[in-house]
Amino acid sequence: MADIDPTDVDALRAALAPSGSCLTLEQLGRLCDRDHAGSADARAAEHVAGCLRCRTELAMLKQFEASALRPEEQEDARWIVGRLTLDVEQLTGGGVLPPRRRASARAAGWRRFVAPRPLAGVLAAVAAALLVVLNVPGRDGSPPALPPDATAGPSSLRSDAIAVKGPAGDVDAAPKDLRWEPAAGAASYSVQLMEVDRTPVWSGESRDLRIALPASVRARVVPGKPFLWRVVAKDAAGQAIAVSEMQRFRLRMRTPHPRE
Amino acid sequence: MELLANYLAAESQEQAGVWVQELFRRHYPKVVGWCLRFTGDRDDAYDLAQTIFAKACRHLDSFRGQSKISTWLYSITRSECMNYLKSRSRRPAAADGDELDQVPDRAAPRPDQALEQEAWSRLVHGLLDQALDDTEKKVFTLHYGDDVPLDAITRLLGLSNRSGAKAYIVSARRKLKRAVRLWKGRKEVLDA
Repeated sequence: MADIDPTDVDALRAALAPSGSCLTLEQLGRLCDRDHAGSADARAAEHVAGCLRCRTELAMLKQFEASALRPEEQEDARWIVGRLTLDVEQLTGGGVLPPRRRASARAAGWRRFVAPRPLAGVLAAVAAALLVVLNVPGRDGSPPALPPDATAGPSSLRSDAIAVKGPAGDVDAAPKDLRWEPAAGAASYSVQLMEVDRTPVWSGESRDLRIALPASVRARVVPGKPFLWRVVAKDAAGQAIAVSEMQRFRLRMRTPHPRE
Repeated sequence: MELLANYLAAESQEQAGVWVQELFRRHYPKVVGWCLRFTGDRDDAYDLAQTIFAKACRHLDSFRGQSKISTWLYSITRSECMNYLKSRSRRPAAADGDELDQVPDRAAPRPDQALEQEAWSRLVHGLLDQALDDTEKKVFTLHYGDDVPLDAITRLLGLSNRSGAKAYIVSARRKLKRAVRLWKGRKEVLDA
């Protein structure tokens, strides 16, 4: 070893390159968490204590986990995040994600292979015959009658998760606020307002079932310009637990009065 | 993990997409900040971040939950940042007057040198550990262990001194030389 010069750059590179005993990022991540204090992690911690490379890697991982944007990065980051948001929406809507298997199909398992499908056809035929024999009235093509109280209550736009009150569709004035129905278990709500190409316009947080739009945002709501918005419900830990469908609204174009 | 569970349980592509968007949205600042620090350029950082999230989208189903999603994203980010650096240059630009880089290239260690290499590696780690301060150790390891250029290290570590990482390399080199001199002196005494 005496013939090796410790100031030799390539030798330094070789010494600082990862060795077979260096930890993977997954193992370093567990050390970071400190939630997995098993014997394997004790051995890992021992290795890290003596390995400059793993210590540096762990420090970088911790920095990444805790990283907040620095003031000088804010503007560039906002520009990038705006575009990334769009990109990811296009990616996730463009077939990059693996196709979903229906939960019912997942739950049914082997049963779907032995389901008596021909029997369903036979049952449908029998039911149709009974309707004819018993002279039960079918659809006559006219719209079904609504119950008397069908139009009572708020005009909510229902989604699978959060029901949104509005605004939605064409509106007569720039909305003062965005409103929604409560989601079970929600401690707060995060709202995003976007242009139709999903460029973020404004976002806010609320513990209430409404959030006021700042005057500067309302000023951007001009006749004919559509906007999208969405609300995400969060639990006390800040985890998203439900999301509304994307809502679209537009300030109605002012049509001139015939006498004007 | 709850968002990931929601994504996995989603029955429609649209709902799955919404959960993925929400999942990634939380990590945009981390990844974007990292990309900005690695590249030092807004457009390059955007391209890099786009590549990272496209890869994350494609491989999300292979995430097994053995680590936090942020650790998983970091592994993709790190790998793509290294690829970016490789595409820019095979080796980092040497610091001005870097005497270390004037030493001729060594051949790769022979198989019979493996044990010696391991002992050598331990020696180097020990010397660096003793001689350098924490920031110098990080700068040295990132520069010589991962070929990260000095300007990127300056941004990554948020070094605010005038010459950034280069100053740390210079002082680390000086300290290392002193440590090596002491080690050689001790070794000569022991060998005598």
